[in-house]
Amino acid sequence: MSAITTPNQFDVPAKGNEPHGHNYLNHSKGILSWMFTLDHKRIGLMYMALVLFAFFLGGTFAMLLRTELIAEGPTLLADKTQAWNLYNHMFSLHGAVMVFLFIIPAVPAILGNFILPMQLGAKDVAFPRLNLLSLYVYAAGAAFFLYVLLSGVINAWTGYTMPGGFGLDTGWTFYTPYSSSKSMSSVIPATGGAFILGFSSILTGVNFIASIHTLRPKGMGWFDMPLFLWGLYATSIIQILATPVLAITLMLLIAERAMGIGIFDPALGGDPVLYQHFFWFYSHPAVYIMILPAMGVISEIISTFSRRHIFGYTFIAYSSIAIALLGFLVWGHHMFTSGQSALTNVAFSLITFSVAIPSAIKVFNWVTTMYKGSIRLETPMLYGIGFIWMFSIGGLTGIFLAALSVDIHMHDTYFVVAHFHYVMVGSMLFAFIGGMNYWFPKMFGKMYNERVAAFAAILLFIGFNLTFFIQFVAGSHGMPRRYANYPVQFVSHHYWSTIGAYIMGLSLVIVLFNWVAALLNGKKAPANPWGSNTLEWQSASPPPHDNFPTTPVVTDPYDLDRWRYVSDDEGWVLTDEAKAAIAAGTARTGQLH
Amino acid sequence: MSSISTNLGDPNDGHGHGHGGHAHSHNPFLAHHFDTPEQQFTTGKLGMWVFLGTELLMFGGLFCAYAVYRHNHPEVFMYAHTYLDKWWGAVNTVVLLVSSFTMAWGVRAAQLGQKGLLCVLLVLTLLGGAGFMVIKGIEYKAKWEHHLFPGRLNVYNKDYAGPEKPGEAHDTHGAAGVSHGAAAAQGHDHAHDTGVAGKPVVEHANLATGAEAAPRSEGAETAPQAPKPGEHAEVAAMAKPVDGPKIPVSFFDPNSLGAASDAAKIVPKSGGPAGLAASEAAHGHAAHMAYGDLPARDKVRVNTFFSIYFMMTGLHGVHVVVGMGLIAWILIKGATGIFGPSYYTPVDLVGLYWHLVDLIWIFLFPLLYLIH
Amino acid sequence: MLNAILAQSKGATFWMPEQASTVAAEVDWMFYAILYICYFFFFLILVMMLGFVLKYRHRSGAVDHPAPAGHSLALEMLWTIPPTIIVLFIAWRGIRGFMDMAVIPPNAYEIQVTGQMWNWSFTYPNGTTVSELHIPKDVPVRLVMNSTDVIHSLFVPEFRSKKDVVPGRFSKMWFQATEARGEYDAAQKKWVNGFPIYCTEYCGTSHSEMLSQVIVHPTREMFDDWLADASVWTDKMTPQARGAQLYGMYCTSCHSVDGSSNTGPTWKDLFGADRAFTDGSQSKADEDYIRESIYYPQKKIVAGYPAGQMNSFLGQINETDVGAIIWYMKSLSDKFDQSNLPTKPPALEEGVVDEGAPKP
Repeated sequence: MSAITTPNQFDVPAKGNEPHGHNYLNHSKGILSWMFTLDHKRIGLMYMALVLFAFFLGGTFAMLLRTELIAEGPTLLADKTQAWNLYNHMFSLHGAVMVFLFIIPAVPAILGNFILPMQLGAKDVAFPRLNLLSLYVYAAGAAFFLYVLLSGVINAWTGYTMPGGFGLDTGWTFYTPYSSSKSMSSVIPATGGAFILGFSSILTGVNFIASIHTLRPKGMGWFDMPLFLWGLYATSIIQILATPVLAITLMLLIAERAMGIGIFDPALGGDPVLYQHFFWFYSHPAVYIMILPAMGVISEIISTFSRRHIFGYTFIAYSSIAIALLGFLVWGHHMFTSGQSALTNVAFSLITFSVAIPSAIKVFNWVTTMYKGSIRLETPMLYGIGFIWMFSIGGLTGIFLAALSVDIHMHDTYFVVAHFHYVMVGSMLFAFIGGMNYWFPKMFGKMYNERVAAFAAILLFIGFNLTFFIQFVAGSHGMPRRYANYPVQFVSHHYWSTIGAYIMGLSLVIVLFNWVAALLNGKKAPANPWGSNTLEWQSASPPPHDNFPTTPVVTDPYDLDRWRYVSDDEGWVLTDEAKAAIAAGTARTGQLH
Repeated sequence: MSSISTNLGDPNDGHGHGHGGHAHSHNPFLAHHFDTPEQQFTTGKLGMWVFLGTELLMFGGLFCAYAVYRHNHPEVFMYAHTYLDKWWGAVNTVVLLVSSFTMAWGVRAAQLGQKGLLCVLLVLTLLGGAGFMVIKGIEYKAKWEHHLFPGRLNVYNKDYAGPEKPGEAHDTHGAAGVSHGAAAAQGHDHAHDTGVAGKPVVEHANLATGAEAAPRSEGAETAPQAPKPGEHAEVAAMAKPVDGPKIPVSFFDPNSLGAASDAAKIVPKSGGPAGLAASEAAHGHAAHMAYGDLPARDKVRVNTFFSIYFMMTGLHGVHVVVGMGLIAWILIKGATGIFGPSYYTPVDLVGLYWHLVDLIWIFLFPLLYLIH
Repeated sequence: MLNAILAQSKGATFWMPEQASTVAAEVDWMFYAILYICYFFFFLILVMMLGFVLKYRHRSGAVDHPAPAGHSLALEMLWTIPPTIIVLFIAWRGIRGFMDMAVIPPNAYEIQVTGQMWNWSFTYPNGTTVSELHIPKDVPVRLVMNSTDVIHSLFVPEFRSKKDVVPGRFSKMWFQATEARGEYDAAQKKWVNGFPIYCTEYCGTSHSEMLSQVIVHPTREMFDDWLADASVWTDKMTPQARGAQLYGMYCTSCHSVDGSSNTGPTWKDLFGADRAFTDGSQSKADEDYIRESIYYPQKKIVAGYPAGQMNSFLGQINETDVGAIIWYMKSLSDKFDQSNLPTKPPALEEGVVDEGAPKP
């Protein structure tokens, strides 16, 4: 904090590295220095390795299940029953791995861990040890899922059933009583894994909430925070409030399966619909765990690449909190056909519609931010525009499903599948990859190949829409979800959907190779390649171990006029006026108040 | 709670005012990413409160399950809770409250740097926790002996797969009666079967054992298997105090059983249904819910009550054990004398955790033991 | 005017399948109303976004606009209040449509439905159980549904109707068909071209084969004729033919009859064969064993197959039908002398009935 009195000490280095070339990557050496690091940046990178591996696994399952569906009848295996079983295991593992191991942790644990303390101008998160613990808890949970996968593979090859069962064929929702009394698959290891992953999520949430509350630098009030932090804050609220309910639910499910305790199994006096209530009380807010930080990323990207101050800052910030809180009150819309009372359905339908309003506010504010901007279509911005497209479709199709009479028809069809993939994959994945591209130079100090990245973004956009838009049509005609086989009328829908999935897969491979290529021989990145004004860009690329040599000066995070473009090598630097303002101690623009 | 509200009010207050007042570079307890000890303390406390919030929600799920089943099947809860011993429960409540008090005093001692007092108080708290677990163990042991463990170890479970203990007369008796109830809960008409057999007492005992051996969902039709002669006679002998053919359901109702024979007290002390029925009758209470009054399909739900009971008290017990581990840890740390006015965060946070554990029990006790 | 735009043809459209029940028109009206609203907002967002990208795209060398903080309460209200009103309208209309589906007419014709992995059975008031739903046109029909194992969900897209079938409770749904559909294919000896029934709640291996169909008879009289006809089989077919019919209703998703592998053992050459069980015991597959396997499937598990897969059919398949299934299995077995198979329907044996009986 002493920097405030002597601001001249701080100047943004023009070139990427600190004078002596020290950064968090080479701060200390050896595998132990990574495994026991308390540095949020290194933890973020380790999360990245694990989460991307999980994404690769989940993606592989997706390719396999789409391949099974490319034609009518058994495709991957000649035998009908084996083909159906394989498909059932594939879609269950795809869902479970993607939800619990990828979309929930992706943005908070990777981008959040790396960026949140830096946007706060802090040296670390509030509880660095808990942060490291959450990483290992995540790894332990992931190991359970690997066990599930392994047990399935071993059973398929040798016929040997490992303790707990083999594979996972319950769907990621683990609905009782199928999961508790019928399925032969590794339900206990899988739910145990999800239970453990929940604690990783809780630890991250606790950490982020405490960090945002107490580590904000002098001068950064709640409404001076970058919107990414608002997104993370809203997400953390959901993580700490909803995840424990999932944990207890899964614990009951495990006890039910292991001991037959009879909470959910009607044969033992239990109620299977209660399980659904418990499960969705977590899992619907979990959808917002995925999307809220993604919205934060998009807010940063849209503003930066439009060179405009974000429009309607307070409305975007409040709408994040509104979505987080409303998200707790809408779980019943997953159960409109389950036989809950008509009055309950009506109430949940009404509250569900209310989520549409803050979502609409965000979209319109993003679009308005672009008005009169100076828009640069660099790769993160392509993902930003793609996000708005995806989220508009995903959000608007949610209205069909919130409307009771239409939902009765659409429920559990491909219309729902397409809807949530537009939100959870289209939107969230676009924000994640966009955010990765946006912060990649900061994380690694290297620039990726812009042309390849843009090509991959466009290809991903095409592939995604081909895969999922046609599923709306199949669904509204009655194609039920989780079907290993389908009537002939849906053949062409599934064929084109699978082709789209292959295009998606290809584009994701290109994205990954582009990153790897950049790591190996990318151009050195400047400290601020995009001209953003959030605090992380005021550190070197990659940042030093302690993030900032001195505490940076807080200004309006979207006051982009403080920066001017120099060259691709040097990126953006502070204008002379901005430097003078820092020197004079009047740097804080405070335009928001 | 105050730390949270201050922070919500003005986030900068927490660490702003302390700035410059401390030579924080010399404070060995100050982590590198905090500016002041106050900021560090506030952060720790906030983190703990948030974590306690998640704990509450975790138990909230169980409370919710409890509420749903109690609302849907109040008679089952009325009946089943009589197996619990409310006196042990009350004793445990007192034990935990006292340990909470010693913990709170311990925090005060840590703040004042009273090393000796702190250690004594922490040891007392630990003893309280241990005492709680011992009493819980006694209660669990009684449940085990009466075949009331959750899941397939519960005689009310239609898939009961627990042990038979013919050596202990009253226990077997109770178990036999109850397992008959479990079999009856499947909706098969044993009264008819046994009436035809003409040897009701023996046949009922057989049915009880048969139901345990029977594969799931096939019920009574396949259940009666020829019992071993010795077992046969033994069970029959035990069941003898009840005379004459009665309607099986009320015959095997633990309450009426207790009324008929003192040997059949299923649960020790007055907590047992048998004793309760008698004592309530003696005290002129309103008619107590009896097992026979339960609709057939609800009998299996007695198992659900015990599932919820064990999940709730078990999860709470795990928290007590974790809390004891934490207290032992700060006891070891405290013995070195590092806690004082400038650094007592761990004691404070563990204290918060311990109070939460206490608080949850305060809710569990009346909800499970004192149903009216 | 809005109604004129949204009134859709009864046939299948790009988005929706054919309308064949009384509630379908309302659901489709709602669907298209929301669809056009969504088109409007989506293209509004799209045009603005792409328009801004084109118009305000940065060109190299150009000087950036200054970027003052933007905020407009009026604009925020513009995209808060009208959408709120629109979604309230949609919610109200959706709830109204839903209540029409939820409130069952008191005079509805009741059919009991049982969902089971992985088939449906429909039981009529006279006790007849069939695997395909036959209903009369223009008569409200109430389904009282239960499951014997896991959660299923009965879905008829053309009726826009769906309801979960939950074990341990009865769920109810109703509909009134407005279109007759389905005919009897005498060559294949089965009904074809009905409205499809799907199971829409994942229920295990053959979830995607838990299919059936709704046959809508044009008049109540024709429906009653069908029901009378379906209630009696003993004068129409041989027991093994009846067994084959039952196989198609209940057994086909798990047991093959051609020797191929499936969830359960194949029926080809099963009758009379020696069976080895998971508990190490052995027995011959005789009539008692097959009856036991249908009523108490978990008592003996054939070695190599997992336990817990098959449910009891006690109460669903009566003893006469079990006998018919055993005859069918005999007809599939090389261990049974095929010349001993009955050649006539049971009721026509011994010359009890021959004149005036309905022809098969």
